[in-house]
Amino acid sequence: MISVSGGRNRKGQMEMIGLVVIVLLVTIAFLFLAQFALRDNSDDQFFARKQLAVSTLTAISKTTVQNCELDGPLEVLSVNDLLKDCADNPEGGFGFLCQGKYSCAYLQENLFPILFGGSLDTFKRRYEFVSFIIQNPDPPLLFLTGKNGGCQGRKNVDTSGDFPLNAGVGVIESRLLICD
Amino acid sequence: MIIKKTKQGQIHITETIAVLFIFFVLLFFGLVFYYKYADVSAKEQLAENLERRAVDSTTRFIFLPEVQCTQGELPPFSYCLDLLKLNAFKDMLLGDALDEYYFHLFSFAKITIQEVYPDPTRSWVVYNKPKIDYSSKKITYFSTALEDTSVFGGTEPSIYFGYVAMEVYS
Repeated sequence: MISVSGGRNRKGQMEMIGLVVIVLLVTIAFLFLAQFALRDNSDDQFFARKQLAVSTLTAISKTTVQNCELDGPLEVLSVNDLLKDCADNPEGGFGFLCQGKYSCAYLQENLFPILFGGSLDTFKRRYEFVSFIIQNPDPPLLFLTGKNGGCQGRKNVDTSGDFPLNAGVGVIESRLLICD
Repeated sequence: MIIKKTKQGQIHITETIAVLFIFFVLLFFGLVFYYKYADVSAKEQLAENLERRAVDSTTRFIFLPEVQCTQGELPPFSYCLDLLKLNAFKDMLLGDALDEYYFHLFSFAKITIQEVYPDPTRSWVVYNKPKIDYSSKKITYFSTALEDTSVFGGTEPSIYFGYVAMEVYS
């Protein structure tokens, strides 16, 4: 009787060990799966996105434009000059006239679509550009999103940082967001 | 009694064989899964390294004193390439004299500068060392200002907008 009971106990123990081994194996498999599924390689792209945002905004701010006038043809103007003029004369009036448009409309409708379209849209990037006066941020002076979409609700968003610029009405801040 | 024990033994053996079979099936699937995982992981690592190399090479090129915009004794402009310097640099690279030096910097790569504004038809291939039997390639882009120092004053714009396309091979 004792031996039968001992045999049953041993069998029970063996089955318990088997169960534990199976649970361990399943756990290891799940850990592997989780590691595989949660692998995030966003850090690898972070530097490329960040540098692209910074380089794009830096280069755009330096770019010079033609076809602008103020009581007669002007010498060379930079995008920053137009941005300042856009903040100081949002409705036009006394500001620069470029291809029949005042600074804000010219930047929003003509120049920036060419600059962003020829670069970030060509690289098939999603992006958002915003330029506003810090003291009066709403509504922004300029706002553009990419042909592939903006960055609302996206993860892996990188920013160019703030590009401040002094204008008559206050400080203009420009920012470019690039996302996946 | 003996017959009963033999039957019991046979059942035990069948049970053990079934358990071992299932165990080896699980082990086989585990090994297949691990092999796939290791394979994908290695490919990702390779792509990651290539991307890193592309970004490194682009940064190296953009800040190369041979092509970077300067402003007298002040620090050079970042993200700006001097078109006069760029043309001279391109011509200089046609010769073989400095091949080894720049190959050490950029390895197997193709560097193209594309103007976007005002003239999107203009582009320059500055460095071109493609790898014939490459296994993968990666292109990275950085925007840049292009300064034409031959235009001085007047009503012509002198700083254009473009980008650097860095194509690297492995």
